[in-house]
Amino acid sequence: MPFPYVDERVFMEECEKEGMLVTVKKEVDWNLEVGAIARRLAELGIGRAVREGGRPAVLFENIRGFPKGFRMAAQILGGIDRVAKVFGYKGEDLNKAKSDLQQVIRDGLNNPIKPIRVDRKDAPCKQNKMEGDDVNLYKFPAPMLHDGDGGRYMVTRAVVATRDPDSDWVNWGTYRAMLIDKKTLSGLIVPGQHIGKIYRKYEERNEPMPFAIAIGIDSISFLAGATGVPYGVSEADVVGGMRKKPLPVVKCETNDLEIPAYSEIVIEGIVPPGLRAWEGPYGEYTGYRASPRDRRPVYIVKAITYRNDPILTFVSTGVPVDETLGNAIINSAMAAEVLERAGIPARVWEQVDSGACMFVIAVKRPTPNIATMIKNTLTSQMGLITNYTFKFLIVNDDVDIYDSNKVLWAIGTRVHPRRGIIISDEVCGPLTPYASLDERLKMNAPHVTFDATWPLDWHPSIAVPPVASFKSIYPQEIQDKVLENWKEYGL
Amino acid sequence: MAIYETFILQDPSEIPEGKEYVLEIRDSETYETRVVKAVIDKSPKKSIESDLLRVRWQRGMPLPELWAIKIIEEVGAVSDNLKYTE
Repeated sequence: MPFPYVDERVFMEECEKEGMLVTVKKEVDWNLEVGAIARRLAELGIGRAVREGGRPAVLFENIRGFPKGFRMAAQILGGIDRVAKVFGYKGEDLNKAKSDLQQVIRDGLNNPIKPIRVDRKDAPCKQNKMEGDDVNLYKFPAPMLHDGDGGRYMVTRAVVATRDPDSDWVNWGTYRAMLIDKKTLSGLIVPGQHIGKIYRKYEERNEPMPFAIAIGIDSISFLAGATGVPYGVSEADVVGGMRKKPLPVVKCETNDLEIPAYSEIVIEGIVPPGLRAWEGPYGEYTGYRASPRDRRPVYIVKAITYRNDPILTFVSTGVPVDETLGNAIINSAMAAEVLERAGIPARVWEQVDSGACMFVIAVKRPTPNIATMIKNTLTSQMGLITNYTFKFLIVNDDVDIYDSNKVLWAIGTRVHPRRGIIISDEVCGPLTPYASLDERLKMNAPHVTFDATWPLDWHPSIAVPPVASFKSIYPQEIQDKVLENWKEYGL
Repeated sequence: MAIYETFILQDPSEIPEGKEYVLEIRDSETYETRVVKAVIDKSPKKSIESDLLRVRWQRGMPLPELWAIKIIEEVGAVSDNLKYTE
């Protein structure tokens, strides 16, 4: 097994061999058609493995209006089978992978490995180059993903690299950006995000912020960029930890940022201070086009390098589940780590069916006000993620948090309407669907915590209702008898 | 007859009618955005001199009717109008 994969191409080839990726040879249109195909795949697959009724990843080889060789790919991690594969997971039970992989990720977080720099001549992403007046973003099949989006979102499955001007910290984050014209993009940069904090420092100095956008990167780098790696920690190091091997990186052409050497397309340039252009709207992973169109920072492109036969990767985000599955596993792992360090051992699942908007947390040993304690711990230690994951459901450890039906059952049956619903004013992101337009612009909206734990003063044998399930309410001998005779019942 | 697109934030009255007005429009084929000076007619009559303008709310939903747009002058690419120099 070739884990860790050298690049996304090798990973996709391996997926295709195992029926987890389909290459589409028929001509397709970058204008809405590829977005619609990827969206339908996501909605039919809902994160399942192909062998369990899910849908494959897709590689488009023939794009209308573009020369042979310019390709696009989507839904790469749209199923649990690909998420498991990209981390080298060997287990057979893919549902168990949702919890097992969290430990793999926590190990990677706690044991980072620095990237290894390769010479430019050895970096595939340097095979082609356009610079200065030759820069033309329209050379690439940047997709119009949803009808009515603010523009062609070329940057949805990528990392944007920026350097903290006060340290050596380089942040890789996934931030959407759309084409304005052939050498300009505008992007959503939220002040609370790491890139927002870095950009603010440049703006205070009235200096442009150098950037590099790497598209078509390996999936582990993408996931690291799209999740809440702590402030001040370089995602490249965490990627190395999760790969268990250094990630090859290469220096940019016009600045000293380093990006994955096997990127398919690299866009370099500056984000000037104080400059704004229209950005959005865009159909987001929550399933809504919620963030208001607004004046947002501008990426001015100075150079583009790209591989021969480049693959423009994208996510046609929308109603869950799409590629949020992998992010959910990493965010859950980080939340579990944060809680453990706070002395609260718990299992965590960022519920992807909720649009990745709700953390479900099963506590092993509830204490007084445990729900509030957990919410406060996560919002203070994982502020960025909880700007977007704004609902918390705290349950006892008997609930299968990975099973959406069981989660709904817990909400329906265990949350007391008076004492079990805790509302708090928090920072929210502009994508928050339930927030008013004004709240979204000001990025301030209430969060809610559902306390579905049984009250500690309820006697376990008197007040706590016993669960009436096959496994819990029948004696073991009856269960064994029923299972033994199941076929004889004709069932 | 070309079709262009533009966005409004709150109210169609943000774009004045019948007088020269500078606005960003995007090509409905490539989505490349540029700045133009134009005159808008919100109740377009068939005119060979005007192109059509699809107006979208800030969440992307289009107004039910296309407007007419007569481009008077090309002001340039968006990046040319951002007033940033290094």
